This record gives sequence, structure tokens and C-alpha cells, in this order.
Amino acid sequence: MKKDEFYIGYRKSNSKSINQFIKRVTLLLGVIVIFIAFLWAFSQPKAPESKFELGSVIELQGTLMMAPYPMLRINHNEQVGKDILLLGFGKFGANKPLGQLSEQSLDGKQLKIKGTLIYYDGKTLFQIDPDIANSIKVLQHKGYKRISEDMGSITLEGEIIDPKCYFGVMKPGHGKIHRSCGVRCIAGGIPPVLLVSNSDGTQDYMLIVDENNEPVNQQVLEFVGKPVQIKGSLAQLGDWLILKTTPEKNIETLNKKSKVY
Amino acid sequence: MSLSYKMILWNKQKKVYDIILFVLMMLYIVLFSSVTFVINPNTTIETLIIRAFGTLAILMLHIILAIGPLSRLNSKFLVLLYNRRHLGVSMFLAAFIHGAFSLIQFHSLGNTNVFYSLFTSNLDYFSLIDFPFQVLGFFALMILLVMAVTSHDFWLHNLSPKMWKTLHMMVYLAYALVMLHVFLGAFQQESSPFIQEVLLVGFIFISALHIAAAIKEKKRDINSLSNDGWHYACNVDQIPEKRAFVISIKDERVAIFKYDGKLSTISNVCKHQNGPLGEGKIVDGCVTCPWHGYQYLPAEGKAPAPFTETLPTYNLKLEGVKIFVHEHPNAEGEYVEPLKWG
Ligand code: HEM
Ligand code: FES
Repeated sequence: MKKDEFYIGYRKSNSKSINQFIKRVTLLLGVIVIFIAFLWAFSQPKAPESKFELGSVIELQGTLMMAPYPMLRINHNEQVGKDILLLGFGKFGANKPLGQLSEQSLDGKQLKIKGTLIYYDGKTLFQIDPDIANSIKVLQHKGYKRISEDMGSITLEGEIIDPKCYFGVMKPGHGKIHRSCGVRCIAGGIPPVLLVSNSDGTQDYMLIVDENNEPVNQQVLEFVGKPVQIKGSLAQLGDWLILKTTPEKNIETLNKKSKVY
Repeated sequence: MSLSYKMILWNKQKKVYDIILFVLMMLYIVLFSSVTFVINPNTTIETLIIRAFGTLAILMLHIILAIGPLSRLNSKFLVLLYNRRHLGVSMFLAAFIHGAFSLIQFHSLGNTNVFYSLFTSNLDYFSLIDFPFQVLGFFALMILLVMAVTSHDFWLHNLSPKMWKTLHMMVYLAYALVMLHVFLGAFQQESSPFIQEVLLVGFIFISALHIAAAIKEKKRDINSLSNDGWHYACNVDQIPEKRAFVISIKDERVAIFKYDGKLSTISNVCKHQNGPLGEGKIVDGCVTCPWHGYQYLPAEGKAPAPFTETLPTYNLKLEGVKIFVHEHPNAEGEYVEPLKWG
């Protein structure tokens, strides 16, 4: 007759067949763990090459342009230069640290700023080091003037992203998963950017402003991280495209899947 | 056994269980991370941690939910049930790491409080595609937290058994919330078919096990018919020596034990965590619970000294080889002379 097995957890010794059963179950679970770990790790979408140089603080020198969103213009020579979008620490824009530094407007001043680079797809951003007192030095005034070129009215489809995360801090830095973070960042003053994917696989990025060239952070929050259509007019300002619109009227959510990267 | 909660019984079985658990969890995290870094080197460390621990937690949740019905279908799986609470607490820890990193990554260092941000950064509560899926994960995590905290026997003795049981049934609510969290969240965007399909298979597997176990129990739970309060249970030779036969009388399960030429009947429900005593065995003269080994003297319905748990006993009568149980339970711990047979 078969022995009547009974397992009691607090007894020291188990019968052979119980021990064998434990071995088999452990082995099976091991196989499941290995299989699932491989399958799920493999099936993640590719993370982009975007870069946040966390831990590396460098110093940049250039001209501060406050409107519509703070940027640092670095001139290589008379014609060539780069407009670097400035950002605060965490989920804040650059207006906060710059405002902390000085009551008067720093617009148009030459500055030396310490901070951390963020870059991807030809765009460069710079997180100002949180130790404000030591990270920004105001040099003399240098009258650099950026020219804005109007490009006419346009209707575009894309997704409103927060550029800090998209261009390097987070992966994914767009879409549904990232949405609540994007809302937090844009609410905190990080400039809203419309990301448009072209049919040839390239992407365009536009800073969104209102008809008076003022920031629209609060007005676009409900549209962040969703496919949208925006009607407005386009202008080129240094390295960046600027999209002028009236968010309350001219942004519409599209019933579509977001396709980015 | 009521003294035991003061000192968790650390013994060899538990150690082996915990070692296997730890090794398997590490194996998952290490494999998931190495594969990710090899094929997807641009992944950020935060995303890796969030994903590795989130997927580990949901995998463990499936295993936890499978153990209950598996051990009702095949008593060998009781080996896994014995230390299930460590599995539960470890799963909570994995989910907690996932949730905490997500909260920090997506909501901290901003212009509002982290929790305020969790609930308000996405306000599309009436949309299916845009639903704020993180909130679902948060509620699931809170349920798992309460369960992890109250899993210690201390709470079992300080909460009523009903309350404790209800609390631990909430694991199914947590499971539903987590599945919605995943299907309304990550998968809307990260449209990898494998995660969805594996979880769908997991869901079907868990449901099928529960249905199979319920069918098995249902057969037994058809209330037996009464004749003046006496219910026919079975014949003496249907009960194996030192084992029990379970019948359901007025929706209460009752276990009739056969041992040393005697028959005794007690409630089927263990005082520890409602374990099925009728699936236990008489060991050293005591009914021994299959789940964690609490013991009861069969004729008294009492745990042997120094323990103090008591169970209702039932009166029995024999007609030939037919065993009848009286539907009226005796007081907890009331001695009933065992019925001799043969
Ligand atoms: C405070 C609570 C929680 C928050 C804030 C949260 C947040 C998130 C976020 C943001 C994602 C998307 C991550 C990505 O793919 O990059 C995610 C995915 C996921 N979550 Fe949660 N979660 C929470 C609780 C839970 C719990 C309790 C579980 C399971 C027990 C869980 C399981 C998962 C799984 C399996 C995924 C999909 C795989 C992945 O992408 O990681 N989450 N969660
Ligand atoms: S339920 Fe734990 S010993 Fe019976």
C-alpha cells in the first residue's frame, strides 16, 4: 500500500517524495523565471540615444535670451552659434533659478553658467546647477540680437512633450507612461514643445507660445502626452522653431495612437 | 499554538523556503537587467529598476494566487502554502520598490506634493485610453501594504478571524487593480505583444485553477439531507485511517476523523487561518492542520496544552456502517465520547 504522506512544515525531516516534489517545483519555477525574464526584457522597445550627463557639471558662457523661454546663445563666430534651452533643477524651468539670482532682468547679459548638458537629435539643453549663488556669474552686457523669421500659418499634428525628459532625462520621455511627469515638468515652467514626426523618419521640435509670444505652460497641460492637432503660425528663432497659437481655441486632441521615436 | 506568534517558528523548512524564494527573485532581477543592458544599452537605470521590479511583482502575484487552488486540487502543493506569507511580503517589497521609484521618477522634485501630483497630473478619469493608470497601481500597493503588515500572527489574534479573512480576500481586488494598471498603462504605449499575452495566459490560468478548485469543493458542499437533524455522511470504510471525511451541514463544513477504531467530528475550519482541517491528518493523536500544523484533540475539539484554541464538536451515530452527524454543533471544546466501530 502507498504510504499516507502528510507534510508538516515545522517538522525537521521530510519524506523522500516530498523532498523530490520540492525539487521539481523549484526547477519548474526556475524555468518560468528564466523564460519570463528573457521574454519581457527582450520585448521592451528600444530606448533612444538621448543623453543626460548626470554627475558632470560644466561651465558655459553665452548671452541670456529670456523671451519667450530662457536660452543661452553661444556664438562661435558672427554667423554660427547655438541656442541652448535653459532648465531649472528637477521639474522646474529656468525662470525660477534666474529669478532667484537677481531682481532685475538679466535679459541680454553675458553669463557664465554651471550646469549639466542634455542633448539629442541636434538639440541642446542645459540644467542650471542648483547651487545658484555659485553657478551663475553675470558678465558685461553684450548686445546680441536674435532675428525672428516668420514662416506663415500652419496646421500640425504631433505630441506636446516636456523637452527636459524627452531630450535625455527619461526613457520613455513621451507618451502615456510619461504623461504625468510631463505635466509636472511643464507646470513647473519647463517650456512645452510640440514634437512632430515627419514621414521620412525625422522629427521637428517647436516651442509653443501664445499670440503675444508669452509662455503657455498652464494652458497646454491637459494636452500633454497625447496626439494633438495645433493650428498656429510658425517662426524660426535662432536654432528653434516657435509655434504661435491660442491654446484654448486651436489645440485639439486626436483620437489616435501616439507614435514617437 | 497560540503562544507561537510571539516567536516566529524559524526552522529548517522555512529557511529552505526563504532561500529558494530569494534565489529565484535575484535570478529574475539579474537576468532581466543583464538582458536589458545588452540589447537595450540606452535604458536608464531608473526605468530598468521600475520595470524589473514591477514585472517581478506581477509574476509573484500570479504564483501566490495559484498556490491556494493548487493545494486544494493536489495536497502536495501544501508545501508551498506553508510559508506563503513570506512569499506575500516579498512580493509586496518588489511592488513597493517599483511604486516608490515610479513616484520619485514621475512626481518628485516638482511644483506640488508627490501624492497630490499622482492623483492630479492626469485628470482623464473618464477616459479609457488616457486613464491615470498609476492611481490604480497605488491603490493596489496600499492593499498589499495592509496585507503585508497584518500577515503576522499577532494580527490574527487581535483581529476577528472574519475581519482577517476579508482583509486577505482583498488580494483579488489588488490583482484586478494591478491587471488594469498594466493594461491601461504600459501596454497602451509599449505595445509589446509578449507582456500582454503572458499576462492574459496568466489570468486564464489563475481563473481556471480557481474554477476547478471550486467545482471540487462544490461537490462536497451540497448540503446533506437531514432526518430529525441527523445527516448521513458516509460509510465507515470510506474514510482512510487517520484521515477525515468532510460534509457540509447547513453551510458549515464538518470533518469526521477515523483513528484507532474510533470516530470523532469537529468543525473543518482551523482557528489559525481557516485552514481545511479535514484535509489534515491525525498525528500523535491530534488532528493536524495541513496548512501550518496547528493541532487539536479530536474528541475534545481542543488544542493540546499549553495551547488554547477550541473548535465546536459534533455528535455522531452509527447505523450499521453508515455514519450520521447531528446538525447541532456542541460548544467549542465540548468533549464528545468517540464512537467505536467494528
Ligand atoms: C504607487 C504605486 C505604483 C505606481 C506609481 C506605478 C507606476 C507605474 C508606471 C509609471 C509604469 C510604467 C513604467 C514603464 O514602463 O516605464 C508601471 C508599469 C507597471 N506596473 Fe506599476 N505602479 C505602481 C504599483 C504597481 C503594483 C503594486 C504592481 C504589481 C504588483 C505594478 C506592476 C506594474 C507592471 C507589471 C507594469 C508593466 C511593466 C513595466 O513597465 O514596469 N505596479 N507602473
Ligand atoms: S490554518 Fe494555519 S494551521 Fe491551520
